[in-house]
Amino acid sequence: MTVQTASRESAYLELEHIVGPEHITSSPVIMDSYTFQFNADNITGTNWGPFRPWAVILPESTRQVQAIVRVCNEHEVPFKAISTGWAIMGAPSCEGCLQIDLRRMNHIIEIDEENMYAVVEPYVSGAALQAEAMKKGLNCHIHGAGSNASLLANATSVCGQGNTGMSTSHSNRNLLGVEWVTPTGEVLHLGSLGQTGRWFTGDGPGPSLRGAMRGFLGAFGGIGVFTRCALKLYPWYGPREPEVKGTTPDYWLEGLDRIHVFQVVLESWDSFADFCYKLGEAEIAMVACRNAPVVAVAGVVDSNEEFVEIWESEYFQSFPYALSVVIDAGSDAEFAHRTRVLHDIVDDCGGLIQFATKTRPSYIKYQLRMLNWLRKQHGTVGAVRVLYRAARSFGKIVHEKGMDHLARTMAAAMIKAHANARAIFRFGGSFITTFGALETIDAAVAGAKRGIEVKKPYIERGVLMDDTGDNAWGTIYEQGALMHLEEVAAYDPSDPEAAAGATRFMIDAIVASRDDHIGFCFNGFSDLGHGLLSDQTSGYYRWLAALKDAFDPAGVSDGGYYVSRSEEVTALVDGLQKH
Amino acid sequence: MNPRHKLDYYEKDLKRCCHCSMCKFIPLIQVKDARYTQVCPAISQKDFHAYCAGGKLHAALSLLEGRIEPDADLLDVVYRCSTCGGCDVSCKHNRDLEPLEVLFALRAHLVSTGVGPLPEHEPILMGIRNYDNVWQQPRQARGRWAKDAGVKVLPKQSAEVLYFAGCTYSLNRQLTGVARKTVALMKSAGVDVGVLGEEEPCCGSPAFTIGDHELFMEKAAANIAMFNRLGIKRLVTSCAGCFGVMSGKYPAVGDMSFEVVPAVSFIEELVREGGIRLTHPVNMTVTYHDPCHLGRQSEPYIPWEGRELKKLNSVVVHDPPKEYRRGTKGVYDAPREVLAAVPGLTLTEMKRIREYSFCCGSGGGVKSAFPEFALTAARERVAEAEETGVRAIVTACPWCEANLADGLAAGESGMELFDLVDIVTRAMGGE
Repeated sequence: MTVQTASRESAYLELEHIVGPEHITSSPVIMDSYTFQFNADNITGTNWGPFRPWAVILPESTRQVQAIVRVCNEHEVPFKAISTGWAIMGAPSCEGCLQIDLRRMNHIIEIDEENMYAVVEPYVSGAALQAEAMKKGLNCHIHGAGSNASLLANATSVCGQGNTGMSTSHSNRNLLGVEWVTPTGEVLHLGSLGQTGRWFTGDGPGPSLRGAMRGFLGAFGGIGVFTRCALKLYPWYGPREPEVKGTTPDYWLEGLDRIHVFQVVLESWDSFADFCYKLGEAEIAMVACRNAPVVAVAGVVDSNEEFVEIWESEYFQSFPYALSVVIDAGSDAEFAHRTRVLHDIVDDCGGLIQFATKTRPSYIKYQLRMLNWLRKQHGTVGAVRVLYRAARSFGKIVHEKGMDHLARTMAAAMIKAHANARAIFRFGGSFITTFGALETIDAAVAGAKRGIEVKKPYIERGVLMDDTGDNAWGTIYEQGALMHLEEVAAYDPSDPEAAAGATRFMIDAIVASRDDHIGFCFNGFSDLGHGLLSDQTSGYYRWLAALKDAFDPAGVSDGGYYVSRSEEVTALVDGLQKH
Repeated sequence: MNPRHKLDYYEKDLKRCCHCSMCKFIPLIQVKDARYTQVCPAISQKDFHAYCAGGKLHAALSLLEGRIEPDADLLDVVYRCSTCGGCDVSCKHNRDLEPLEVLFALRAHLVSTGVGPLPEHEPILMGIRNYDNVWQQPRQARGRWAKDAGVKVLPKQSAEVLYFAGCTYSLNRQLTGVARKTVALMKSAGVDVGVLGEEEPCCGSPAFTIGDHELFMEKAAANIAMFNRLGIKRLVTSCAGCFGVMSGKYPAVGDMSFEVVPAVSFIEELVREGGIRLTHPVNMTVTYHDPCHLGRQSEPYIPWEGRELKKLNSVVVHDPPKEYRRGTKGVYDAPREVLAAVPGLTLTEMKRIREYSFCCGSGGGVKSAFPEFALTAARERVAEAEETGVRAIVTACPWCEANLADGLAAGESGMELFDLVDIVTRAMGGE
């Protein structure tokens, strides 16, 4: 879209009038701080996104957002809203875009203890809401990005996977009432909010537009601005204000008397899936999170040097089919029961508990099983070598801190989601993630296996981190109803070849998930993603584009990372299919 | 210039920032209240992303790559920052990057290219150059506080311990009592202590933070040489700024034949070893404000020279291994232990403390260039203290004391403000 300069000047003045001169700018230094984004290298080969914003504006209310959007419609100024604003999908995808930074809208409007939901503005982080919810004996779902990121953005606009999904579901399913400034500047109230003025459901009484507003992946800010939403809360059985011990980077929580972590290891992907189903059926776990060996090691070290030393021992790689399980309970009796059931399931599936918050003497049987598995994989001499190296590297940390301590830090990391970025960015500075369909446990496991195959050639070429191919991270949701395992690939964004390789890997992964019917993969966004997935998914992109046309007739809500308008999408997808 | 003060030394860090915004918050596990999530005074007030540490890294890269020209907006982004280092602690909770070093290097780059600092900083630098103090006071004024203290004056006399008051405790009349009381209690404990009187120089810290690294290097080298010549065993300073720079920066400039000790640690040692006795009740509830330069920025300098290697295709490791300063080895326990030893006194902590303490807003040249910014930060910290329900704030830094006093004066809480040594003196039976 080209915009006349005179109109731009007029638009700027009108926008300035809405928020005041101190809350709008077009200064290059500030524009560039919004142009720099993680994953920009996948598009431009640099740290910079393809387009610098025309201006950045900081509204403080829904009324201001609405006025801003109306000015954008009047002057044909494309706009893109962000909250905590992480990754290139939050940056402009077109020339002359107004970046609406929702940072000033940072209030928790309400925590309804009785009905177990919270109403939040866009800049409320997971950490902020969780701290307040815990004071009331409640907890919220924090997505995989971590507790630094916006809860509203994740619920309304972007994916929604998170460590505690076993008991706190998925962000798109936790979404209740929503306040939405549409691309034309209307304010819509969805769910019960639209009918009763209360926030307690997302799907009636009142209009449910959950599918239109976000669907599985979200519109990445391409269909207006979400200004408030209600999120479901869940019981929290820990202390109302958990005491934090230790110092950075090694913090943990005290007082989790009835919240324990168990690192469970299975012998194969099949027994892993079997265990996941049984664990879900038993409905005993707060968390069931799969961390690949590479992430498990990252969780116990304080430096990359320590990481490499432990990794090279091959100890953790020898136990890849692992799941971190957190058991919680409201009473001692219930906790004892749940723990017993967990042990029964582990035994039933032929698994073992590698370590736990309180390691028991009976775990010696698991140690023996571990030795046996090591011997089967590496032979007797090889097993001894692995153990020797592990003792010299991982053993040092265990000696210094103790296994119980490691388990406690792991529990804290999963519940508080404060170190998610550590586990992924420390391996090179950036990552890309693929597969990750929200599907059955078997489908998730199939995706994890395929992910390894797709990734290996890129490791051999030296562009992606050598994590053996397996960095499938994911969790079970709603006690086994769903699972996702996404294949994460770390790389160094300062190396252009690595960045280009990561992009190519992502495209290969989309194609593999499509051709092998593994489910709708994470990267099915933007016209490119839709184009690659379209021919086996009933041409859904045409409906998506039709929705975009209907809600955004002027085409001002920057949809570059969502979907373009119908005629553009049709031309692009048809072109892709021909080639 | 020290290569570590050059911006291009950090180019890879600039490119490896992931825009996660952790630098805006206290380490997330420490969030105890939705109101107290922020660690950075700059982004707390200005809101545009450029004002957080990540944003400044982006600005630095943009400048290096020629995407932006230095202008007034860049100077505002770079200098409207108290360089408190809260961002550095939070970033390093998850990443091995050096955001605070980048910020200092960015300031040094702007100064060395003639773009910086701001006009409001020039008097400070001129004061250091011409008068050896940041307040542009005549050199003779520096020693007045100690005139009747009955303390040895070096180098004419010799002493085992040099008490270094610093520019502000020497020259700010509201604060000189801190220096006098500290020397008095050292003497009462039988410490062989001396002062430099009017020969006491500026430590150079403001020159470093403002970005005039040439001036800083000159001051630091001269000071180290002089302190070495004095033959002292320990240098004790009440000023957090002086201690922070002497502990964290001086060792990179030259070998030091003496130990640098903050007054709070020295007092804690005296209390622990029975050199002074705290016998008089001080019946009040207080909260303690951790000064940035006594806390996270005082972490001892860790020398490292080596090379960066990549393992497993992308994992950056250092040969030899590099130890990062994460802010955890600052002086946090000593002041709390002293307060715990005061009979009748109860310490109630704020929500943001120790390595993730919220800055008072005074440092980095902002008090001179952006007084409203400094005052707003102080008000936020005072409000946090007020919420604890205590009667007084205790701290141990002249810059914090001056700025928090302004913050208190702008409100109506009636809370008092004390230097730690004021409390100790009372507990010893003094006033």
